[in-house]
Amino acid sequence: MKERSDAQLWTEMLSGEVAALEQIYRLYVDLLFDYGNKISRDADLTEDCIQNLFIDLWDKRGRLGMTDNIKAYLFLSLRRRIYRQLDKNKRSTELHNEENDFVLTLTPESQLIQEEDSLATLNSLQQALEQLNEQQREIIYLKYQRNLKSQEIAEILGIKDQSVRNALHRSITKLKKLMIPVFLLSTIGRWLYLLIEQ
Amino acid sequence: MDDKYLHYSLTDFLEDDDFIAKVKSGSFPQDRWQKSLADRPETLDAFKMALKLIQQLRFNEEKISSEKVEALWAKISNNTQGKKQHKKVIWLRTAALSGVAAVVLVLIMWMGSFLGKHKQISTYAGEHISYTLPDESSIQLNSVSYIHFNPKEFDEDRLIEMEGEVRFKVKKGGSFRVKTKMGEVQVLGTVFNVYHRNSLFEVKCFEGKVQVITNNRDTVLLRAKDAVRIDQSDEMVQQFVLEDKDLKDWSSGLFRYEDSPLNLVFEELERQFNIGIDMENDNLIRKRSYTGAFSNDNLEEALHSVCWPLRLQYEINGQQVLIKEP
Repeated sequence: MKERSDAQLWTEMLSGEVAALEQIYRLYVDLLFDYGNKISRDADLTEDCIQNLFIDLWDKRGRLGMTDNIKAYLFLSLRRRIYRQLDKNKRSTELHNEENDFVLTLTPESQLIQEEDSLATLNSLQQALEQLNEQQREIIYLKYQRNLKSQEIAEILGIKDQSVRNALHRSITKLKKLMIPVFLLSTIGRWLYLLIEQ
Repeated sequence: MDDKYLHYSLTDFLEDDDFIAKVKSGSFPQDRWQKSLADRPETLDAFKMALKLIQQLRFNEEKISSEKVEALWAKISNNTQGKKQHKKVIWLRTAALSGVAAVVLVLIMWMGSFLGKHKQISTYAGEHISYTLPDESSIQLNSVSYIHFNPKEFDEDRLIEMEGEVRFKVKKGGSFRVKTKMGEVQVLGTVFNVYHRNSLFEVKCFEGKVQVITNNRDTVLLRAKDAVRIDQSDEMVQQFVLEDKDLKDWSSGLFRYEDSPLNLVFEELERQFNIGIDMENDNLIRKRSYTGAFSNDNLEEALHSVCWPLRLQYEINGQQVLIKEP
């Protein structure tokens, strides 16, 4: 399996290697689809945007700069593209579009099965997530699901570094507030259990 | 090592990208830290909660079917066919190729696969970098360029793979090779410049001797002041001679052009100044050619040098430049 760094793969693509473009596509198409769908809630639109993203990438490669983080670059481009398309669609339809809510659903497999409180914690975490605003959820997704750094997230969302950190801070404080009762209950529960066992 | 963790709050843990990555990869020594934090109950609680949250913050992913993945790729790759040429016979423009001796080296259409740790150096737009290789040869990279080599094997086999534009000053020694996707350069001790971007491959020899081997197995021997340019898009191989004025080039911040397509000039401007250039009327302007030079120390002057002779106007908006006809 060939190990190539982002910088190398990118420059190969810039130099006109279709195979490099294909590799970039195959490496990131799943991530892009998931992200795009969460933003637009429209699989067809997401697919179109991904397709055009790569077509444009190839057409304009002569004028692109270097990057050492292809994922962040592609996310930024896709997001812009999707919002542009959503705006266009809004203008041409008379219908009231639903609020594009960045919806996150916790995956049950992530739970540590040994814990008895697992289901309760999951539920309260899910509810806590729904109390956050759209941007906060998007930031949490990019940071914890996609492992991007705050600076990269700032570039993708087009906001300041500090704004990302503030939003994260607020989200964590909120999550903590809503989670602690369950956390405590489970801890107390465990103590009681241990006490009884003795 | 990480005393900072001792004073961390929950938010600190959850904002630390390094911590998050290590926890997710399972390489974080959780047990050791549980013990270390035993006497700091607040930090310990924050630590435990952070661990929990990192492990729990995993979301359902929307999947794209593999049929769709292939279908989309088919559409994308159709688009890449349009501009590329089919293999034709290369014909020569100018005087005979300097013949070289016996061995014609067969070139591999490599994909640059190799094992082991490679040293990589790359430049962004607006960046020039100088670097000294393990054998004391020196190289300079122009903007948006990339090289890599294997430091361990470099003593026995001096091989550099590159994309973009790099000037080499090679110390005398065993063979020294430079590979690009469009051809290879072999030297013994010399100063030369290799350019490969898109479908253009160009080698200029400033000192010493350089052997260029194209993908079509043609070889060209360049002596001091010789140069060769291969353009894949129209299958042309041109040999030419460098004049004194050509000796001052990108490495001195000077960019000269003689009857060059304007889009090449604009692309270089974009790389040197890290800007984006848009044209009001794409087709009309692109077809024109430019003879002249610009230097990379001042954007306005550079734009003036290019636009004035061609009676074009430019408008600067931050990192974007708009070119229009009056």
